[in-house]
Amino acid sequence: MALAAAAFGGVVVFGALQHDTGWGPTGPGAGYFPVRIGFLLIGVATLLLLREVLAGSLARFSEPGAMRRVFALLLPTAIFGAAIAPLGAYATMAAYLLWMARALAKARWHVAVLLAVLMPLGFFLLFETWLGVPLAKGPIEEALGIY
Amino acid sequence: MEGLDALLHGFEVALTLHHLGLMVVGVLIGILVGVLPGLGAPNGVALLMPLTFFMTPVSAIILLSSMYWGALLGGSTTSILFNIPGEPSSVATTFDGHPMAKQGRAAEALSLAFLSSGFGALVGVVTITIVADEIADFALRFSPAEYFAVYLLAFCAFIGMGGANPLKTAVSLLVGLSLATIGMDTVSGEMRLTFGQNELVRGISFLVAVIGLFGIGELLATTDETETVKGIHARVRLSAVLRTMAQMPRYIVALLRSAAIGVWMGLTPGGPTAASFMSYGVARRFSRRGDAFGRGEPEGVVSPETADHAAGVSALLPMLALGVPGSATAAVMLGGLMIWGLQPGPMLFQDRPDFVWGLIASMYIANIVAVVLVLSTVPLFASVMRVPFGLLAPIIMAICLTGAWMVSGSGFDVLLAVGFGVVGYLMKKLDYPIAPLVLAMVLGDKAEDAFRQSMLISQGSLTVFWSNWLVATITTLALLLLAWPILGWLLRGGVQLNRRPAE
Repeated sequence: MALAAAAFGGVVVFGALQHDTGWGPTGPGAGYFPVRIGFLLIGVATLLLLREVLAGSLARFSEPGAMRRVFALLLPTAIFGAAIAPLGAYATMAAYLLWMARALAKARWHVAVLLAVLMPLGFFLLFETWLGVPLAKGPIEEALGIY
Repeated sequence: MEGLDALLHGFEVALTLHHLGLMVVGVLIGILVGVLPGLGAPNGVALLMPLTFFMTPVSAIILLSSMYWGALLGGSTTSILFNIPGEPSSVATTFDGHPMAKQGRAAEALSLAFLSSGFGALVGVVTITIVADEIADFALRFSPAEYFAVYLLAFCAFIGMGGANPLKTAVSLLVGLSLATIGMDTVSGEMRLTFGQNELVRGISFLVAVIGLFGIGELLATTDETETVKGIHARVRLSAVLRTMAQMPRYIVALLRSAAIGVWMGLTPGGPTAASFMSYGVARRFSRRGDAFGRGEPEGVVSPETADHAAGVSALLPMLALGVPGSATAAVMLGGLMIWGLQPGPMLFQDRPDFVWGLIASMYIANIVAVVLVLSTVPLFASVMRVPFGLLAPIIMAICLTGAWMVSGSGFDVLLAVGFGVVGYLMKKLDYPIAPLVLAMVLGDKAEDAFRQSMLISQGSLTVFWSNWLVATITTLALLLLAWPILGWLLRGGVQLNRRPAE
């Protein structure tokens, strides 16, 4: 984590160096602030890393079973998130909920289907009808002609 | 008496049917959000934010602040019944609240928690009413240098007093500040840190970050933990509430002391989490029944709850008057103010008194509404916790991702939220506090502007931050706070204290 933070600081410094880091015509240039933040970040992260290495506390992150559970939740969610823009929110949400209810919660079919139908329906009524906020639409919604 | 007139006018604004309805809705959503794992107050406010773009700012802030009160109460409910803090600020409530519930005194513990919350909130809002105008007048004298000093003070207070590892807090803050600089530079119009990506031109929305860090990250972290939920059934009867209410005077010392701690921690940016821990610690040290703490001592419920709410309420004042939020939730609301086109700061008190005093008046009413509602709906909301997490998690995920989409209708934001979720999960696992990151993201631009303006005034000399007594005091105080962990470390002979991470 400290390494990642230091790397991020490096990216910030690199990005900031593309701008005027010194004294520009309008006062401190665009890069003045970020470049200092970046260097500070690298410094603090290095300190933190040093302390962790010295303390020898680079212990194991978590037990193996936990990581599997986290990924079982994270991966479908990431796929769902990526699919919202091209495929529309409603159909993907239904598919996502169906999959999660079956795979993760081991729910019975009728519970899963009920959830996968009611939730997008509720969202549709809430956002499109009542609040007038459009959610993402894709080819599936188009085929159904619901907007 | 100027303040009283303004407050009465505020009540006129707040006491409309529309606004009362919003309070009830806000409080109910808030309790739900507080009870559900993975949805906390900052995250809930961020999720509701896109919906408020269609309201007037007064209605919007009433809805959001009511939700905040509801969330604070909901968080205490799960602390007591399930030993799971729904909010970071109710962690201290689990120490004595859950043991009380296990001894069959759940109803008493809940009533105590809610009533002392109400008391804390009341003290907080009375304090705000009294000092609001003074603070706003005081802040009118601020120049950019003073503003930067105040921001610096806020950042340093987090590092010095946040309770988490100072170095990790610093990393979190600096990452937030870096994220805030992404996008178009407000002074020169240059594109910074976008690396040619069009999606990054607008910058990274703090709403997306909050939804990811607090919502998705929290869910992933909850999945990680194996412990099963063993709840305690509780029904709060009116008789139990009345009996507890009759007991309240017994705790008057604890109530007043905790409220004072809470108000202080809310006004100076320590936040409700730090306030509740501090109040619990102080109570344990000074109480006559200090030995009973941790085994179901009512004072151990009263103290953190009072301080928690007093801090949560009073944290809104520096947000309004100075533009410096005292808690993560207040930081998200501050971002909301700017989106609604309001400029937080002393001018808000002169330009939009209806907004400021409407909010303050609504805090009186909404907190009473919240306590009544939470007392009557505890069994209902507690039953939500019995839904298997495997079913709950995807539903909350879907809400979070939809919320991220609504921020600006971009698929990139949704992926960004997932990314922030992973970061939030890692931060949680490795004890990096998240609140400073959010605070820095919201304040980053303003802090940078203030810094550049003051540099401009002083022709690049840092002495501007010691140029008069006001700015010098604030800056010195900030640096002292920053040095606080180092001083403490030296005093303890190099033994580092690793406490629980704050918020």
